[in-house]
Amino acid sequence: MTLLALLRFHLRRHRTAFVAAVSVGFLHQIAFLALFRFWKSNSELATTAIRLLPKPIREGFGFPVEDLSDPRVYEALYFMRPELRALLVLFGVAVSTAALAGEVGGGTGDLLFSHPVRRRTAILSGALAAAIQLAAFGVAILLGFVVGTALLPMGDGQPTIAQLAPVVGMAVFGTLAIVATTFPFSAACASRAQAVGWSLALVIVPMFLDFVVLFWKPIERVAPCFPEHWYRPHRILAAPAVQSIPTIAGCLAAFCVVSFGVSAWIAERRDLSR
Amino acid sequence: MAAIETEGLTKIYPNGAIGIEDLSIDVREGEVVGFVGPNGSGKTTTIRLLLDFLRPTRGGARVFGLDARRDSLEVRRRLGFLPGDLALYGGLTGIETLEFFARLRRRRPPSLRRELLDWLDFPAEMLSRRVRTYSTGTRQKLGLAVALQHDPALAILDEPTTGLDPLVRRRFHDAIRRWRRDAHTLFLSSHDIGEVELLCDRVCVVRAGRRVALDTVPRLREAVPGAASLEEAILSHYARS
Repeated sequence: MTLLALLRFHLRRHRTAFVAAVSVGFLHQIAFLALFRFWKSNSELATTAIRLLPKPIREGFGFPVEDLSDPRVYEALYFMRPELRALLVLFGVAVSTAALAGEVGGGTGDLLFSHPVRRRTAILSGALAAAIQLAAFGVAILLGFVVGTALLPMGDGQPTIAQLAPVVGMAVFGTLAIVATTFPFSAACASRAQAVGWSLALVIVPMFLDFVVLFWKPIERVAPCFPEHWYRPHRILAAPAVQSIPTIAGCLAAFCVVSFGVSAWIAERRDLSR
Repeated sequence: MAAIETEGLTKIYPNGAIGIEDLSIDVREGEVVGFVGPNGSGKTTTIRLLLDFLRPTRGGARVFGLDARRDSLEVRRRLGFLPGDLALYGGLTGIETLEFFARLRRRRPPSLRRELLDWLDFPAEMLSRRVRTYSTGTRQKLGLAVALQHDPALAILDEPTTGLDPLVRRRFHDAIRRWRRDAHTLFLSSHDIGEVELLCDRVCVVRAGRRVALDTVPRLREAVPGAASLEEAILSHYARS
């Protein structure tokens, strides 16, 4: 019951940011679809441009660059959009850092934890709030796709909702796994600003390493240690046959479970002081 | 049974600073004990240890016979706390704030809420406004209502009237006295000796993390020769090296 009360509170607390993020997700997808005709008519130019890129980067995209006019490939590119990923991750970090570091640093934790609330419950409620809000964001993207393709059909090869849903699900789950790794900072830091700083560093460094691994093979072995390595929704859409969805989902789930376990462990042992 | 009991309670912070050292106090059920001391003497540290916000370096504390560390959840079910540096969720309205904290104590309904708001003369129209628009006094009144709305057996108030005007202060004292009709226990940390004299049965004086006195108001006054008031007696305790 405490968990439910805290969960409702988190959802209400981030309501404005959440509505804004969901609206942006919905409109962003429609805007992306609106550009498809332009993209298709210039796909040869885009193909030439992409062929000029170094081979590791081309391979990094994970789908055949020869078919850039294919609507599935175009839609797959959507999940690699930096602004989309930044929005998802920043929103998740905002929720994760509010869970404990925000309470302690902001002083509200004094009143909150004078009530019968376990610290791990506070962490878990934040995690559930992040999961629900990211899932709603995914639904907004799907709705944007439905509305966008109804207004501006992509033509032959347009992905179906059934094809897109698992991709959106994997994008949401992948983002949640990335965000989950920031919860230990929320559990350990004395202020939200500190937690945001460490969290963003933790998110950005693996993103960078995941990119570096395309050129520098020696770090390939450690790449699976980063949740970023398993964020591959675009590949699922473009080349579903070669992706092992259960393996990817299992690895992402492991990141979530381990991160929340570590967060709870830290939270229960720390002093709650600014 | 003692409402609060600490034995050899010690908190040394990771940077080596001593919060409190070897503090032993007892607060009997139904008693009002004032907790006074100069800034940095360890009052808030003690309270935070009782609430399990901080983990003791040595010693322990018991609240209603329960271990403050091991049975922390049960301890917090039985008490109400008003922090010294009160921070509320600015985006919530007054009534949402009361509801949210009441939901966290599902086993104990907010049976005293209406009376408390009445005793504190809390403006009804403010309940529907966001807390960020509240004045210091109104915020503090809401904080007290949050702390006591479930009618706890023990209240720990950390400098509840600091920064309040005399009128609001009087309302606070009035509300606390009325709440105590049912012989509840109050542990009151304060810098206001007049307030302590007015409300408390016994006073615990701490200095530099150590207990220097714990006695009734008249005895504390008498214990310092030449002290004309409790304030003078307590100040002489502060001044002793």
